[in-house]
Amino acid sequence: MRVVTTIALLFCFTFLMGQEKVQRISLEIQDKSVAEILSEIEQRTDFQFYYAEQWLDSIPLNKSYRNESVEVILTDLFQDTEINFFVAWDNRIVLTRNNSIYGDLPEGFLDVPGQVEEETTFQENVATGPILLEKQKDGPDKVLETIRIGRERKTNRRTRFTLSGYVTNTNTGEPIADLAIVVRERNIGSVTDNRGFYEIELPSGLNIVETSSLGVESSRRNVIIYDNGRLDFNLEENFEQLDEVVVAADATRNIEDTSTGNTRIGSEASKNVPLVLGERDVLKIATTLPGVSTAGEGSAGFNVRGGKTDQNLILLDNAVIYNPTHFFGFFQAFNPFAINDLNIYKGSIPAEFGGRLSSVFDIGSKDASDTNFKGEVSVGPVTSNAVVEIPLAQEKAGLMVGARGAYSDWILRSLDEENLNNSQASFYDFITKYNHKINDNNELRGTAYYSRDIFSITSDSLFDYSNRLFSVQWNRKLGERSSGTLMLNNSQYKFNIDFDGSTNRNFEQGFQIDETELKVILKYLLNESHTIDYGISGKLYSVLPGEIAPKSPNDIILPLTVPEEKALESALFISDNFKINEQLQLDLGLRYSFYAALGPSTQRTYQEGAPRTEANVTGSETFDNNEIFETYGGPEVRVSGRYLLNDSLSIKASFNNTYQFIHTLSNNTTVSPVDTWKLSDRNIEPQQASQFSLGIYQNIKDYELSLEGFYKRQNNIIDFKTGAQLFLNENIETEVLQGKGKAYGVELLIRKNRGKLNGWLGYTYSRSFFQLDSEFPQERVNDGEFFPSNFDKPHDLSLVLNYKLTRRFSFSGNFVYQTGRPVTFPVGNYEFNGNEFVLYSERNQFRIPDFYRLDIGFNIEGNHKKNKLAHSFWTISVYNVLGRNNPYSVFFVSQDGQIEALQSSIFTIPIPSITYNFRF
Amino acid sequence: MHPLITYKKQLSIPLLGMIVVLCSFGCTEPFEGTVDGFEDVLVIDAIITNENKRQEVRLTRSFRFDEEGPQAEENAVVTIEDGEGEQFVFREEEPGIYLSSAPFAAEMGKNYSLSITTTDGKSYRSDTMQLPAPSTTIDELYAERTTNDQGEEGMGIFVDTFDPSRQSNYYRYEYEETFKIIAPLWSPNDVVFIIQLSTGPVFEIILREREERVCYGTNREKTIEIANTLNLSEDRLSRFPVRFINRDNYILSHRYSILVRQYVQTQEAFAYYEDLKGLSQSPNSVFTEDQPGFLPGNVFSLDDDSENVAGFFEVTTVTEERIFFSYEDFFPGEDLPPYVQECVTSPAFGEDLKGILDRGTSAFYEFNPGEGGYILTSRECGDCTALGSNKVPDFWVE
Repeated sequence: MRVVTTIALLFCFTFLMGQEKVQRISLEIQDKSVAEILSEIEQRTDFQFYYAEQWLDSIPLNKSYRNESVEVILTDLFQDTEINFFVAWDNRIVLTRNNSIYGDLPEGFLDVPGQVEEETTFQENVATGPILLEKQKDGPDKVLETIRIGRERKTNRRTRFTLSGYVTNTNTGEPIADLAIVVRERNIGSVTDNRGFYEIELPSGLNIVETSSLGVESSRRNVIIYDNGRLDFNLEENFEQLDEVVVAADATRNIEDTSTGNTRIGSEASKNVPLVLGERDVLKIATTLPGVSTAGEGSAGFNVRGGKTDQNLILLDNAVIYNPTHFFGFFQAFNPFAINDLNIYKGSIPAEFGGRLSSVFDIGSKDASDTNFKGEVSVGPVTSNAVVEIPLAQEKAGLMVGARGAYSDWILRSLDEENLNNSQASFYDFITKYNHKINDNNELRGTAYYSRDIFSITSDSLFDYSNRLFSVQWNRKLGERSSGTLMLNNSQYKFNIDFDGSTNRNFEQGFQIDETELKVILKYLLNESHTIDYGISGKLYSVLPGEIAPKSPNDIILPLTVPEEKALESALFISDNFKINEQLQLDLGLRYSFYAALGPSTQRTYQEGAPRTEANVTGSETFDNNEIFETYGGPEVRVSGRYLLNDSLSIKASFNNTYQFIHTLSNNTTVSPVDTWKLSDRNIEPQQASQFSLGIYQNIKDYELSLEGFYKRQNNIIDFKTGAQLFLNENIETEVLQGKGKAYGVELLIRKNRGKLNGWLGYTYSRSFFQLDSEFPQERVNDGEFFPSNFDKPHDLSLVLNYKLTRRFSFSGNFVYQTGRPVTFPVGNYEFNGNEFVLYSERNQFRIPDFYRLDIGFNIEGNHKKNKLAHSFWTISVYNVLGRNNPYSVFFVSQDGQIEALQSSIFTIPIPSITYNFRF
Repeated sequence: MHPLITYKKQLSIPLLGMIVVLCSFGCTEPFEGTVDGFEDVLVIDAIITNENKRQEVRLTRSFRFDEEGPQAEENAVVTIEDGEGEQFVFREEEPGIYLSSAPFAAEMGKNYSLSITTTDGKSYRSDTMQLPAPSTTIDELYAERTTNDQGEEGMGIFVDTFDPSRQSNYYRYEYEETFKIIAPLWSPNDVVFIIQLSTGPVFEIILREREERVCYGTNREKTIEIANTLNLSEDRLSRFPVRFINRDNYILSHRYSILVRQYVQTQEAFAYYEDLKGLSQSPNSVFTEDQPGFLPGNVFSLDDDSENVAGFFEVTTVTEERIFFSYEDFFPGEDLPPYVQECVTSPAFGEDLKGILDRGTSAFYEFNPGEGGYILTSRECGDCTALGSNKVPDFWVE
């Protein structure tokens, strides 16, 4: 017996009263509850019941039925209750408690006579259409609204047509994105884009088109299609179903999508996962998925499939965000309420994206409502968030404004601890987005975002970093078969360190990177089996690698500015989604990346056959403003394919190669906000990667299973000599080592999206190695052999579970286990210059202890009365319930001539927090 | 594990959030795990200076954590060439300590290289190194009563130096401090065990035979003190803090002297020391950690590319200065810093007293039958030789 708490998404509109073959049974019932009776019926017939247990009385009944139809038995059982039942076409029986669904029913009944007539006509036509004959037994669902698209013409020999249209919210008029449009019987599916637009190819004749999405009522229509045409949906919001699904994945997307290694996380998904300090965080959820990890608890940056942290293209509304986290990675740098979804591409990266080796994190913000004023607010122990949506022109334009801030400063100051009230740690971010539907063919969106962090680690220095971005997107429908998007994006990241000690050596130093991108993407539906996407993009970089200036005239620091670096990165791309047949679908993409390093610049040349040191400089060449002094580039292949073995099983494979022209300079083992970025030049070559992946995907009842394997090679990855000095170094190439990387792994994901208990289990076995070899001993690490990277964690397990106690109360839990990351430990002491020092091993020959952590959360929802002014919920969570003291790093200090091994940890005790959220 | 653990001062981490988080967040504590594995490498400690003297090369091996100190690399053949055909031969004077047979001083413009052949037949050679500057001077070495960056009050020792020719740029400092110690519970008398009788041991009070009241303690630097002037408008260091002594440190109590040696380094040597310093410090924040690893110096094996050799062969220009000051000069009329330890007395007699005297951890203070006989104190409080030498150093000026 299966029990669902609310009316399950896909079944609530299945109102088929009649049943062709009547099953009759006999039952003798003594002292059994209704639930027990239903379960007995399930055992003895093909019927399955869907209902919520709390609806049924537990009073024992005594009944006797002789060879009665199930309908009669049920009618008798429920005669004095609020329960109604519907026998659906596929032997499912849905129980409903007297609710609004009834209101729709008579309308459907009214259609019945006409429907039958249509059915007759329809069957005459199908005589020539073999596909329809086969499916004839389904017939159109009689109570469903039937829509005819196009006129049947005997001359039309095509068997498949394109149906497209917009899906909008009935109340607000906003487009509904990521809504699945499926024809279950034929395994055809499509998903709406951000504009609510969908396209689906249907075989001619009758199709039962269903829609489903989180938070939106489901619908079913009979669509009889004879030509390409348009069908718009107006759907109601459905709050009750919001809580049903933890991760919004469309029922068939897992298997049918062509690409490997991509995942979508809806913002709602993060709601039921336990939080650190009360913050919802989609990026944290991302790290619970296979193949995505961080170097340590609360550390910024992601390692995707054995890639370094600088190899992820993180986009917010198409613009790059250089540091997506606040406070060293503890919090995501975006307002959780302003985020619509996050798409992660770690296997096959669409051809339109480029410039990073390992992955794309494509974050989309929410469109503002253009009909109602709405808002969402949360108050937590460390931060507060608020987002409001303001309609500016009814059903045309809306503005979303979000703000968020941390108020930890005053807590720090009010502490008695002397060390701490000098410290400072605060952050805030703003986001605003304007969306305007100019007309049916034109749409405009603009986003502006700013985030800033200010903190001090020691009493004499103040760190300050900020992200700023703007993006404008214009979508235009160019014709029946083509549409285009024009984007202009600008991003900036900078940091500043303000040092104010007691000597005359006080200074301010900083770094800044700016990029501006113009991109055009065109989409063309060539025919039913080819969808072509193509476009061009150009990006201009400007980097101020570092500057230092005295704080006051008394300071004797010499101002130094490392000269600006500029470059142009451009690309042409084309991809064809090629549907060979129902089973086999290919996505063939090709991208050509071209990089030009621009002057003004001075480039050094080094003696051939000698290590790159100051001593071996042979000369330098100077270039004028905008003079191209070095170019790199090449083709990037992005190919993937899917083969459907049956309705619920598919295999996919992909091959990808990527170029990266911009690199972070960091000799830390983990990411720090003061890592700088460096553009490729004559002495630093672009990084390259290529990846194969192969996966098998299956849906079994409520479970979604996927198993993917990958193998990745990297070239010219950037590393540094031990103890390299990077900041304010005008000749970084003397510290840089470029080498090879290889990574491989298997990722397993089991996901259950429905039911009282839902969540997912992700397990990854993967390895990641680097090799830094050279003919010179100074430029070799570990004798030029492959060694495990800093984030090589073979076993990585995440379990996220959510259990709904009732509609208002739910528990959630999150368990993480990871192999400890590789570290470099001392393998002895030595005496030098009168002191003892530690002799370190070859790099990464040891590991810190394994990491594990359990978090739990408890969510309390306010009630869901439709007319209530605001929906509210409380989240109570405990981070690190087991109080596990996970070492973040182990290091060795030489103190008073003695060597001491120390470990640092971030959270060593359970951290409780409570957050209040409401929306209106 | 209890969350209240060593909170290191230099890691004043910005605590974010709630008070409950206090010290459950961003803590540093001793690492409990085991670290095994050992690599035996040759360690080069060679500094050739512009002073005309028998130059020194020390050769040792790396050692395990549970070992006291290094094994010397004995009976090696050590030579230095100056790139112009002259070779300086080194002789092993003590195990692992090789001195040049004849005195010599490093000179400008010559390319020095170190060659070593160990008894097992392995050969090593350094990169060639040059003297960075012909000479260097300390303009001023001075002591001031000051407050350091952590807000502690005490004495700061500062250096001013200036090279108008802008040749020096990279500086390293070493110091050796000497301080007078006066044992607070010193007594002119001592107690000695005479004979064991059937009634018990017999003791006698005698006059002390050696100086045990006033001694001179010596410390040297424990951290690498380096500075460069590259980012400065002049090749000048002013008020460079070489040493800070908290005012509660007993070494300030009477008279104090410090000898500061200023080395001008080559860029390579400076970079090596900078890395060495970086690797031996705790990270500047719990969230970031510099990538550690084997730190190669400038001496390499000629036979095996993959053999690691630790240490550095440095050619450097050096100068030194010494200053003296007394506590009264800077803290007139103020209380002395507390002694190195609290000094208490306790009585002992008979077998107990004999046992204590045998252990040598106590000093005699006075004989007081009213309080139980022989009154003793800890050795540090009654006998200054526990902390320093009772010989007045040659350079000492009162």
